[in-house]
Amino acid sequence: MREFAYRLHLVAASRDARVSLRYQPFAAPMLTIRDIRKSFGQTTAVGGLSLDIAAGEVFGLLGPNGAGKSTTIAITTGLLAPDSGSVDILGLGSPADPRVRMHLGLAPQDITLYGELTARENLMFFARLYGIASPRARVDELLAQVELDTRANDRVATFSGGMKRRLNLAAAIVHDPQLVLLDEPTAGVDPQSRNRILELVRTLAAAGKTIVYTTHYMEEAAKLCDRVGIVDHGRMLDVGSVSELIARHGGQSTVTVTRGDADQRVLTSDPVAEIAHQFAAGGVTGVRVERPDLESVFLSLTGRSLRE
Amino acid sequence: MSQKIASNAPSTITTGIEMSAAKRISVVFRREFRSYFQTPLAAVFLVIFLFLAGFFTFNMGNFYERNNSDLRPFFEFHPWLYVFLVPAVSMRLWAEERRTGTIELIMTLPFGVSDLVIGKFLAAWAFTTLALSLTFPVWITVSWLGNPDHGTIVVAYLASALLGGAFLAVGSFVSALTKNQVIAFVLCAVACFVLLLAGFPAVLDYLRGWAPRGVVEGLASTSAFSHYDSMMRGVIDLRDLLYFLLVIAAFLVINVFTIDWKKSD
Repeated sequence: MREFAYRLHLVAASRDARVSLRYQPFAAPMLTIRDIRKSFGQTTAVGGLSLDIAAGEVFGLLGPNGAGKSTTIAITTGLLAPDSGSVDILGLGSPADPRVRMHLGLAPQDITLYGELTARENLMFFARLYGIASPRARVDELLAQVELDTRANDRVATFSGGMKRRLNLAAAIVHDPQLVLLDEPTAGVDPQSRNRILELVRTLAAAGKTIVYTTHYMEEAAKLCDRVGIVDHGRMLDVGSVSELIARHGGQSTVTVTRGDADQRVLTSDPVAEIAHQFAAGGVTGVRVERPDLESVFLSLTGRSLRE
Repeated sequence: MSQKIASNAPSTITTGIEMSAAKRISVVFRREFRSYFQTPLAAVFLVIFLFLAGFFTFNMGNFYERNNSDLRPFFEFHPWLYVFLVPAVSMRLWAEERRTGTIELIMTLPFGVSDLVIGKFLAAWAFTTLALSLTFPVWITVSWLGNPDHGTIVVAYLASALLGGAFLAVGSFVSALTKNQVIAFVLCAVACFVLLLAGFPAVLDYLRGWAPRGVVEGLASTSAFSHYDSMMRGVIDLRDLLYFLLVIAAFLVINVFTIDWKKSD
């Protein structure tokens, strides 16, 4: 079934078409999260979160710091046990089972590399632990992919933040997992490294990997993700494609019409018709359209800005 | 960027759980053992250990004045050396993984934590045993000066290695409790000191004044000092061997549970 979903992904001509094809109910779920709850003392980190992610899907968990994204990731990888609820990967069971963990790769929010080792030694260590038959070849491949092949024999402690992030991502996929969990992989990196990381995510997605991508950068979620889940205060507020979420919660577009020195702002659900109407009325010297985006969606769902 | 890397059906990858535990332990052991030599730790530890071992033996142990061709003054000071030097090795075992966050990644590996605990412990034990083995010139010296009982010396070396292993197991457990290496060092030193002191003649004499005999004997039997002292004299008693092996095993088991319990901290 996953193979079928993957083929749908390959034949889809456009990104939107691919989105619509991927979420057919018959696609086998790669990750199923059912009503997970986790509290730390009096603080509820995750308060009843459910989710189905299909094979081959790029799913974005979008929310501000402290929304519960990283706790959800920790529960999904088995690092944390939920107070209640369940996580199932590939229909094989909970990530508490080591055999299930073989199918997932994690790039945690913090850099998780050995600074005293070189880039190659770091990846070789994980490759050997995963039992990869030809670790050297795989590591060389990954180093080339994250464009660190020229720094392969340098100690990681000497790397910039962006280089460490790229290597962190390589370590997460060294065993070629089906499910890749990326917890804010572009946090605090330079634009060049960010572009490389986003490119790598696209490459993984094109290869049919299922990706869970947490971020508080809306533009990344909009660019990369087939579906996005808006999380706040440990709850999933809504899930859908970016266009679906905007249609449901984004509100109306704003058309600003300029006549001479005067600006007129009009809220409308059909900006094209509104512009045509304004031009028909005459005297228009300028028009600007502001469409709703994920920021509008987040504001509508939570009543506050994403970066608050 | 290359588009060919991430394939959906890798042919070169076998699962980690198909590997034997011994192979996984070997991978962890090699990485950990090498890491000692990738920082100044190995050089500093080896120099200080060898210097102090020589200093205690020849200056404080009255090696020449005793006029005996044995290594008793050399081995007598090992427990006290280990109280301060073994924590310096063990403090980083898990505290460092926790501080750098690498524990998060290794806890998602497709096998249990026991392989990691054993691999790390064995690497630390191999390193301290290497330091111990570098004291061989002292053995050569005493052999040159006289005619020592080499069997006794071999057993004493074994006792020293086992004592180092027991302290490392304690230290590995303590290291798993915190991400602060200084705290791990202090706690381990105190724990090892207590483990030694419990069987120290002065402490036992003090306790005999008011504690029931059973309690005093029980305490003495849990002390690393009593068992080390027995073996240092060249006597291989199964109870002494079992004691050290059980201490190592017990603390490694607690270590596994502690890592699992605190893995997300």
